[in-house]
Amino acid sequence: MLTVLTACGGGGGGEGGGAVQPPPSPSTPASPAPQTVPGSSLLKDNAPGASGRYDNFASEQVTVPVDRHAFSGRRVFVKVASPDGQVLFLGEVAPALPFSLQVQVPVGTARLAYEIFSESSLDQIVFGEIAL
Amino acid sequence: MIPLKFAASVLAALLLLTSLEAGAVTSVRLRDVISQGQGDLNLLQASVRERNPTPAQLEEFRTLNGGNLVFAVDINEAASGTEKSASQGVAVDYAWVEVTIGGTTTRFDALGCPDGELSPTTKTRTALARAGETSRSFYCTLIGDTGSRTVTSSSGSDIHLSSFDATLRIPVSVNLSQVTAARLVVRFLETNGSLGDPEAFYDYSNGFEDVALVTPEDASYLDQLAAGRDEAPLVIETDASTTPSGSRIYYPSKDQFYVVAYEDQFPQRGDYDFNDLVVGFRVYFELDSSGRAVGGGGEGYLIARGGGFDHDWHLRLALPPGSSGNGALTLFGPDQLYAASGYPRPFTFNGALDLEVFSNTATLWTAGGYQFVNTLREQQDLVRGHRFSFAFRLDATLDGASMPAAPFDPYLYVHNTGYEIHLPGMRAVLADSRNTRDGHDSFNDAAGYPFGMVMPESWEVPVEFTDLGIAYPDFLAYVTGSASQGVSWYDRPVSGRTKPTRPALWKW
Repeated sequence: MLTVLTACGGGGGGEGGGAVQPPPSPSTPASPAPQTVPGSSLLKDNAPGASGRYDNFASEQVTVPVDRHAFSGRRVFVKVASPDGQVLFLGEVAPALPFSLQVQVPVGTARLAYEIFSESSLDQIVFGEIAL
Repeated sequence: MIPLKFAASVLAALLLLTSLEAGAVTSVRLRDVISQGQGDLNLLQASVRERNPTPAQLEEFRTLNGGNLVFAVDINEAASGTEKSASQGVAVDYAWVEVTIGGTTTRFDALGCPDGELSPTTKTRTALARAGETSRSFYCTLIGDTGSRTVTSSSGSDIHLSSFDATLRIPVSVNLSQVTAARLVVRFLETNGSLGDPEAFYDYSNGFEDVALVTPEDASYLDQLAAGRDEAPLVIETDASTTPSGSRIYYPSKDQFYVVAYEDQFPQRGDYDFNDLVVGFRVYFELDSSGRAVGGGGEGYLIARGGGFDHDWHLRLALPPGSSGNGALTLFGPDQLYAASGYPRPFTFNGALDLEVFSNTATLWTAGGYQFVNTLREQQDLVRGHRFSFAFRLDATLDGASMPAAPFDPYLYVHNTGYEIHLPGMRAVLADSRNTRDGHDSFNDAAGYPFGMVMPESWEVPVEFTDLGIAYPDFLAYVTGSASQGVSWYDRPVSGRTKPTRPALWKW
């Protein structure tokens, strides 16, 4: 039973595999790098080495130009969202100053949308975009 | 000798007086409800006829609440906009109480939630655009969740074991003991949902919302409970003594999660199915109006467990040395609205905040009859996992540069091996793990692959023993940078090679 249980995380099983890998003992060295198999998309057949990229998110420092807009309202708010409307930041900011923050977006995201607004119904929401 | 009838009358009067002094009136659910965003509720009719409030009791509610009638509202909007069972909201367009005394009808309007209002209508507000408009202004909000209440001032109260959430307060400046009619008129705001949040969150659906007349004790209980507020957007508390501005930065976003997946054989190479443990999580930081962090929180779910090893899953926020604070972690069993036994669990921290969120996953989460959860080809019906949430306050604010970098440090401690497994570039942190002792401080294997990887939430878990490169043929091209179109490799699984672990399955 224990053998079966540990197999699921064991190395080199491949799809549908049942290859059994015992849990490492204190003296077990890390596994050697696999040999590359041309044409195979399997991870076990390839060794990208240290140059591989595994980050699927990218950190971006973005600045919202709050200082370029004047509002009748006393309190100023900013919303930063992804192109599909996912909110990354929403809240009150210091008026009349650019607002900077660090966000994380899926790699490949080209632009973000922002809104600047106040609590006054006299102020229209300012819509804008930030290119990444 | 005192006549018996007189004595009985005196005794009855004394009992009534005593009961009034003791606050014998208890919160009562009204018969009428708010439906499709509007309500016209008779205050003299309870949901149970025997509990119909009398004019004297209405006056007692008013007096006890300092000249206000206070209502509890059961928010019931989970299926609408960006709301969910753990957090739902509506905004109040207008509300008033209308009473008829001696043939004269008088209307008492809610005061709203403007800056500086000493008796705001609700405990929270936000800036919203009305439907069809593209300017925002402050509206009172009512926020709640789907959970039930177990602790109130009295088991005779209709709040007891109910799901009432937030309170609504309307000042009434006349004695109500002679009213012949009394009603609450309320209308929720129709928001411009096309703007997304916050409007999408604070919209209303068909409802319906139950309403209760409440005592000060129950009102205070609900106000302090603050149901659903932690996960609602742009919550600006109307109590002037609170400082948070309602500003939040979300990682990765307000409504999406990171999905972290592990190979648990570290330091041995795994089978690359990246399903030994799969967890969805997100984190937010709460900022003051200067952009400094005052606290934060997060939530997450178990998505799949395809490893035979037993793990603890930690979420570590590398707050800088010298920072400190406190908070609470709550764990919920699958589909459970009540916290698991022993939760909420308070915590304090100095420096990094390291939460052991899911302990002993092999026993914590099982699927009847299967060795693993949500990874086996033969497991047709996927199951939901545990949910967690946490919130914390910092003792001193932090500037943006000092906040920990996303996606933070979600890591495993593997009981079977004694090793920690972190994302690449992270370091082992547990004093009693084997990593440092055995010299395994890199979290990439000999081929360069990580033992833990963070994906967007659309990623689906590979079927057990399925190499990630079979489940996602574009992955390797992404890793090696040989195909520019490979950036969203996680959205192109091979049919049948993954389990349909889409967010709709594991978010609840």
